Amino acid sequence: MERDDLLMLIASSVHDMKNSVSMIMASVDNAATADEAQREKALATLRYEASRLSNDLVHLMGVYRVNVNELPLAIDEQEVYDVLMNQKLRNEMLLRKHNLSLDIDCDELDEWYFDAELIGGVINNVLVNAVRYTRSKIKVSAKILDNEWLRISIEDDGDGFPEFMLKNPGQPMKQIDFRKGSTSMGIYFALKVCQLHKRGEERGYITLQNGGSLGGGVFNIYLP
Amino acid sequence: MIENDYRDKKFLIIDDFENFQRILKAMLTDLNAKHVDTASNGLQAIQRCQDHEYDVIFGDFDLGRGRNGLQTLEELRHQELLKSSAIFIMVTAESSKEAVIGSMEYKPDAYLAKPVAPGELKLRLLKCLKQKEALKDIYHAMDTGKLAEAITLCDKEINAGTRHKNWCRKTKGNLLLKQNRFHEAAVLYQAVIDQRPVHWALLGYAKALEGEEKTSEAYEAYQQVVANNPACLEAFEGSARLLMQLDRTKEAQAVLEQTNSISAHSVDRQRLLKDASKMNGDLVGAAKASRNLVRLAEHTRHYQAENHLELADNLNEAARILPQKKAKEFAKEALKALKTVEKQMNSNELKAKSKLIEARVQSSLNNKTNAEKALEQAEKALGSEKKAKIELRLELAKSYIQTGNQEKASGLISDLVADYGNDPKIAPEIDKLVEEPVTKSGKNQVVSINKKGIQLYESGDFEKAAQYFGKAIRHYPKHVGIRLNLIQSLLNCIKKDGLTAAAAKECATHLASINHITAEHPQYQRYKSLYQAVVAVQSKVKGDTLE
Repeated sequence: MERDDLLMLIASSVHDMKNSVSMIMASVDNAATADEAQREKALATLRYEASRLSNDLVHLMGVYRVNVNELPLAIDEQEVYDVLMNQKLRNEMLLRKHNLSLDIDCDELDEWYFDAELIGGVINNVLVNAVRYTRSKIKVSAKILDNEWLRISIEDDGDGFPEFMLKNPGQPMKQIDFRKGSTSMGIYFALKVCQLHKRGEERGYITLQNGGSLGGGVFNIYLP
Repeated sequence: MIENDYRDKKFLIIDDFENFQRILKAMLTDLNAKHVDTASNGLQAIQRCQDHEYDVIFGDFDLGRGRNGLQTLEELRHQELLKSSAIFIMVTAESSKEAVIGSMEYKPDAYLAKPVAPGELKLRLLKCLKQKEALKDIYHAMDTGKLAEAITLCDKEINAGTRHKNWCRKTKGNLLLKQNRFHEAAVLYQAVIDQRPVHWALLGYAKALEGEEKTSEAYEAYQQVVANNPACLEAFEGSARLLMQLDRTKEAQAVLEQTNSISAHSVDRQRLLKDASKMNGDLVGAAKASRNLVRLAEHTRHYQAENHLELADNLNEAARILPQKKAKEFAKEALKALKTVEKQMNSNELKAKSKLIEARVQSSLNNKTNAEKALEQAEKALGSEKKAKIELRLELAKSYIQTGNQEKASGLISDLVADYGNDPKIAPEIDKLVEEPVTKSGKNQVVSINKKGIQLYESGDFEKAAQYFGKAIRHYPKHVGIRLNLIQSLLNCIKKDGLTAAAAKECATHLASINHITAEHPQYQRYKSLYQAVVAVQSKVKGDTLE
């Protein structure tokens, strides 16, 4: 990766974290109030921003390791449903606070080869991001295609991804978008993690699209 | 139902952060758990397990100083403090990949990433309990040592294609390796690799090849694992082990040092590094590895009083080539190491060995009286020298030489040559004690080494000559002629390829190892002139860095 791109990613990530921290500080103040509705809202924000902060830090660490070639893989046979379920359970509180439903659509007996921790981290990040942009629900599905690829899709019913992101997912933005924050860091990390999964000539990749079964954004992860 | 069974289960949480202990305990209490104990380090965990039979243990990987979570598990399994139905769940922070990739033999039942969410915990726990229940016959067979039966039971699951088939494949591979059925293991792993080159199968395959003594192939296989997984320390260790067997000891030492800089937790690796350093003539490196080994082995199954004896010996060997001040520090540390295990020297053999080392250390400290006293005590413990074990007779000879008992030394060495001069294993050990080889094969070899080395040197291939003499010096570490030839070749390499700090240091190290020779020595003049050349090279390096 180009040094300038890397610096841009880091800058936007740090920018995003700074935002999260200020949101957290504001929420802590708000949570101290006696008004129950306001308190609940503040706690929901608190949890959401803390999740983002945590993801950002994981990504920063991950990007560093990708770039110094130290990101080791532990590829093993995984029960796909389990991995998806774990991500749902990790975000149970967040989903409840935001009043969102999350469906999992996956054959319980499906197995595939990947690093559960890294891919789990990628899914988790996409989920937390989807919480911000969806309206009422999120769907996580997985399907084995012709016994050649595993596709994991995270769909929402929000407004979908902006046009510029659909084309080349994973390419860092040329300048910091102060409204979108570090989304591109998450996607860059997701792409790198997927690309580390190889079989023969094939490499993992991601695609973004709009529409899908819920009509919002669709984030697809393809693993060979 | 298993689901609601937690009230009868005993839990143990191992974590060095009290906060995390509290969080996890609260989650377990929410699941109706009644009995939850905590420990904040590996040692405490082992003590708890000696007093209680736990059903579920949560172990953090990173436990601060001392043993990590994986080593704690290793120790618990080794001391048989875990019943087969017990579940060990490894809790890791995102960055501790070593925990996941770590050892094959002592795998935990499951992993849980921090921060732990309650739902995740419940799901993981339930899954483990179900698995243990479904596979309880296999666990039982393994517990009672019926490995062949366990393998048959694994085969059943694999052939039926149940959801436990992967676990059974891994387990079967391990069991085959344990039973030294290396060829079958290799076939099993190869079949898995043909489908997917998953990490555990690549590593298992390398181990199977190593077991079959296919040295070069096994080395290649370990390299494959390392290429796929630069964090797999076990594979680095395997590579180093095989490099030693392939007589590529310098590379072995380099690999081990690199691995050590990532994690210096493994006793086996320290032992390997100690051996490699010793073979490479890096006596200070060997002493350091020995020191780490003793520290790591404390309170574990690797503990042996003899580790301390070896540490003392290695420290003393290093002291003999170090400058005076450092030498004194090392020698004093050696005495301390001997003192630590003094009370455990409960057989005459151990006592003799310890006293023989002590005599050498005292001699390094120029305490002649103490050295003689230790030597006498050793001789007394040894009884009839002729009847003693060959290892001890060699030690005795070494001590006679180092304490300046020339007559006794030459007498003993002639005896040894008479008894073992034709023994292919022991003869080289005798030759290692002395400057000029005393066995017939040793004498012949040194002649041919010098002949071939000098040929290389004269043809102008100084690098090859240096490599050649470097290999030879490992077998004849005391041989002044070979050592000087080596230094001379190295100096010519510097002249040809340019000067580096590392090259200058190598010359100086070799020179230090023969710094005991005096003007009476036939090679003294040559030593002196090479000494001056090395000093010049060294001051040039220092000058360069100042510029």
